[in-house]
Amino acid sequence: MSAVVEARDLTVSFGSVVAVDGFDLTVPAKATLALVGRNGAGKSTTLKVLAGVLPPSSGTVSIAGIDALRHPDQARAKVGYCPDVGGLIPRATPWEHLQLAATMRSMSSDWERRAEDLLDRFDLLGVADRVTAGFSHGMGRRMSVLLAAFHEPEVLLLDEPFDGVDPLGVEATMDVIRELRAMGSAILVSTHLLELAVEACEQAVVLRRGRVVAAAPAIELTGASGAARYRSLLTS
Amino acid sequence: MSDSANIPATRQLMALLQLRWRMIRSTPIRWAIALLTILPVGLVIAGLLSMQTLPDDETLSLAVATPTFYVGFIVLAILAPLVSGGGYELYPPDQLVAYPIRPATAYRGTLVLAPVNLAWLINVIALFVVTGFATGDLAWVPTSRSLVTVALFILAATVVGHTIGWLVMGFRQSRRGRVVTNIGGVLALVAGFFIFWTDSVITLLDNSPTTRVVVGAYDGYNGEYTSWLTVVAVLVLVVVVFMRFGDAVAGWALRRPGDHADRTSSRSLPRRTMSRNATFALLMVDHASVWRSTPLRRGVLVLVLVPGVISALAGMTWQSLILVPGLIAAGAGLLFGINAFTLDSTGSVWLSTLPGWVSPAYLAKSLVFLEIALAAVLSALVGGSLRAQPPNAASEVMAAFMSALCCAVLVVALGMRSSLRHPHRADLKGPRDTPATPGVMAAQSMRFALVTTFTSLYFAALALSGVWWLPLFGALPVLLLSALHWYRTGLAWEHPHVRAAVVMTVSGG
Repeated sequence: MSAVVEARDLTVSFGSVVAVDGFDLTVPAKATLALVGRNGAGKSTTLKVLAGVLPPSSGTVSIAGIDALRHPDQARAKVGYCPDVGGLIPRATPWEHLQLAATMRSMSSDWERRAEDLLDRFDLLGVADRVTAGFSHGMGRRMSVLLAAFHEPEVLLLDEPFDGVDPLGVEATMDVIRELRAMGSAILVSTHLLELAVEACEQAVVLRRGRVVAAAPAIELTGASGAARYRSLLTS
Repeated sequence: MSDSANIPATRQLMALLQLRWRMIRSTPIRWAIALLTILPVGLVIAGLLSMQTLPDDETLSLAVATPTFYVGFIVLAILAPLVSGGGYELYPPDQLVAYPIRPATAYRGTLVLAPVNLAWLINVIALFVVTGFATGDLAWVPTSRSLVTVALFILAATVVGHTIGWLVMGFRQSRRGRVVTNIGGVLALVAGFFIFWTDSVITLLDNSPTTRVVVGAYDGYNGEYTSWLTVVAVLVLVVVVFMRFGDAVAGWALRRPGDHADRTSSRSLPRRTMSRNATFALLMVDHASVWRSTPLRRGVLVLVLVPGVISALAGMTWQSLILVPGLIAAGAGLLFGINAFTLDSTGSVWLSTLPGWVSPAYLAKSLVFLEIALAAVLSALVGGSLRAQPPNAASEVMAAFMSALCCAVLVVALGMRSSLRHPHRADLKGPRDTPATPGVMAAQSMRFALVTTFTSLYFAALALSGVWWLPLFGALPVLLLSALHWYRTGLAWEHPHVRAAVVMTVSGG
């Protein structure tokens, strides 16, 4: 199957600090990949580069066959991204976020129906016209996931989507992941919650100090032996 | 266990100031701040020396006008903290939430930052120079006695002003308090109109208590110690009493279980149709970010209404009106324009993933900034024109309007450059939130004031020609240079590394 996300020799440095240290990443269509690792392993930085927020120091990034560094706008059109913190304009309402996304992404006129449906599924319909500054952390996370999935992207990047989210919100996120995967999207999920990562994704990549230290089916990280292996990968 | 809650407010304040100083990593910036701190002293000395060359009849007229300058300073000392919810803060409150910072520390921190307000600083320098000059020939000991009186008056007015600012901020935590303070504001405005319209200004100024302070300064100079020491003692008493009162008021205001001026977050807002054009859609979101932010909304209203009303009441000449837009445009730049992308705050990361966002975002931020700057300068100009004496020539009117336009455009160009060079995470949610750190605010306000004052003076000079079209043509190079500056900043914004640095900083990511 052809790769929808393809990063080669990806490196991101902040001065003398190397956050991502020259690794390759390939994610085909309909694949779900969990990025796991300790704080500072480079998970969020990797997703930021793939989302077009952060330019890499070196390396190449291809999104759905588009060179994301040479044609960033075309690549952004294919990507939906939920950042690890915030991600919402504090004094805009969820509905205004969706209006803006629909405008900027030139979505068809029936975007309102999908917006209402997603708001309902994420239990945000009742607060769709309240500014997001008043949202709890969990509500903000749900809204960020919703915005990432809104335009049914070919690449869905979710950074800590389950952080502080209640079980119903987690279920709604899982549903969206399943739905987009069925439509052919490639999905990357970065999380510290290993159990949810395994539930959401088939494959897992373990990062440590900006490098890939293991890539395996996510199921292999479950159970006592999986947990022990994961722990050894984080510390060895 | 440590007993940190009992650490005196002054010690806490010193620790916070030291931390702020250590957070300035660049040595040149440290030197610049140190220089800026002693600059006002140098300006006072230079002002006093230069005014010795003025003829004696000027001394008399200045002496008569001095109490009026003092009244003006009191108005400023009350208005400035009133508008900013008590004054500027050393740190945003969310950065200190883990520390047992006393309310008195927060209050005294706003006092320490009073000089960040350029209008305050200019007035302070003017008060020292005018009083020192009007009291008589420069002499080391007598002049120092009169200047001690001025210093105590400035301190007293600033402490009283900030205490009132905190008191009003505390009242405004509840709906009833907001109604009461709004009514109070309207009544003050009506009283102001009444005083000007009935020509009672001179009578009121003659009976102003500031006359007693000025006389005290003269007595100090002339060695009439009983009278001088009485004034000094009263001023010291005012400082001590209001300082204690301010500590208590800050404690009361910060403990009030109010809605912290964020009332829009809990109610549903009507849906509006959004333009299908990216720039207009982003502009609509930026407008919402301004109008739904308490400090920004209040700042815009003050900027647009107050200078207009004051200019209308003052009955200025057109030659003076040419100089007005410079000061107001500088104020408009400090509202949020020096860090324009902070309007998106945490949302900027998501926004930067939207296709076709880059150029429209820069344009939308510039437009919303320009709208406010233009509204402020034009309001002052139109207000001033209502009761202005007839112009000596059409060139004065043209110069005034070109000065307004150029100052607004210049401030936008400079502000957008600053937004890229000095991005800063700021929520602009609380009443005392500012778009940048105190140091950047002070530096930018000086920069804006310098550039816009020179621009205004340039148009004042062009107006003297009496040729109506000269200011119009004179505006072209200023507008072109500003446009070029703005365009080059826009090119920098297109660069992914520059943009990422701004986005990551304002979003706190």
